[in-house]
Amino acid sequence: MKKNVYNSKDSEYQHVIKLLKELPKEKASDNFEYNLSVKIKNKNFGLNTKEPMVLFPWKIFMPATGFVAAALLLFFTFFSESETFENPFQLQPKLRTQINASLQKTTPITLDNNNFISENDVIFKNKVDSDKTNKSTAKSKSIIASNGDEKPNFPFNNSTNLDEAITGNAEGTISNKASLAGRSNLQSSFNGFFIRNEVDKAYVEALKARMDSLKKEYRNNHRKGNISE
Amino acid sequence: MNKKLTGLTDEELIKEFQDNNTIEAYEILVSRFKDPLTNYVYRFLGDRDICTDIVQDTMIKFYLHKDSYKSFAKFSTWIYTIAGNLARNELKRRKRRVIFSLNNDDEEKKIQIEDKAFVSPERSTDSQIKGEIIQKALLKVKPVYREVVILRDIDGLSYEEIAEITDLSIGTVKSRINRGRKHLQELLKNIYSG
Repeated sequence: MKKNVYNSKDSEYQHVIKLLKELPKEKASDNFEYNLSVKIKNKNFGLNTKEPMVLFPWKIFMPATGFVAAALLLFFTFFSESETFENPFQLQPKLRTQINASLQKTTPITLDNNNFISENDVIFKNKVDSDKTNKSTAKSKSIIASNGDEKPNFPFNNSTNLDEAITGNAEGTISNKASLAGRSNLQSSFNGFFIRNEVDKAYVEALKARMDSLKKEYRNNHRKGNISE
Repeated sequence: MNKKLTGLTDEELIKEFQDNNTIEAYEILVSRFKDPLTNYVYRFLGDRDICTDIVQDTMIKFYLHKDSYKSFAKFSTWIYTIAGNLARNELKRRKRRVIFSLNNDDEEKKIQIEDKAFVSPERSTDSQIKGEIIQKALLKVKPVYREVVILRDIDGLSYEEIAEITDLSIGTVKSRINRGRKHLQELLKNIYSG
């Protein structure tokens, strides 16, 4: 027969049990039933003791928060050094000469003699041969088109074609485009919005003569030792 | 009709109330259980005003949700469960109120400390003093132990009924009762030794 462990302990606490049994019984108030019937008749069912309101169940988010924190910790501990992608902002930008070189490598260009442009007379040539260049642009454009999609390898995919942006879709030769792109390297003839006054050559000559005479006078004095240092 | 109803058991009365919505049956059940429930809730919380509110709320819940009672359970365990849940909620609410209270609760604690030397003329009899000391000792016992000790040793319910009310196994109920008794014994050793 199974021994009842708990009931056997009743004798151990008999004094306590006796004290508890002797406690006076609390009774409900005399008007308990009256108050209750009034509440029911008036349908006043708003409970006096409301259930405790849980403001926010923080406890349910604790495991998830712990897991996320652990995952982040592991990620930054083990994977932070194996970063393989290149930050585009830290790349060294390609030089224009490199881009031009790649262009020349990919597109065989035949230049007309008329369109040969040196750096110094680019602007002049462009003005004079504007008609001719327009014709030759069509020619070189066809050459580029025949070479397919070979384009310079710019670091960004969404780069804009600077030449087209400058010429406004006007066709031209590669060299012409290069000259347009290289315009910024040349000394601009534009000196601002100030009206340029023509210099009086006679006045300049007079000033030069005066400076020469002053230099001569200075040298003579220096030889004689008139000038104290 | 009323005389006939008074002779019915609790379960028969609740069935009568469920089936025919007989208010007399409800009233008889209220009159039968208002005192035991008041005693249970008062011993658990130690506050007469709150205890009355809780028992009233228990009876209102019983009135509103009479159909949630299933006939296979004892009515007494069902209504004790309602009252116990409300009393436990009240206790939680009180704890929260103490935590978030901006007042300095040291003052309140000072008031609650028992001054054994002082005996007012109104409660000068030994049994009254003893009763109050026991009540204060009960309130010092953990609520989980206090609840089962009250149900067993004050209200005289069986282990099975307590297990049903508290939704615990009988073994857990018995162990909790013994732990509660042990704690009470330590608190009350001056009373029964003297």
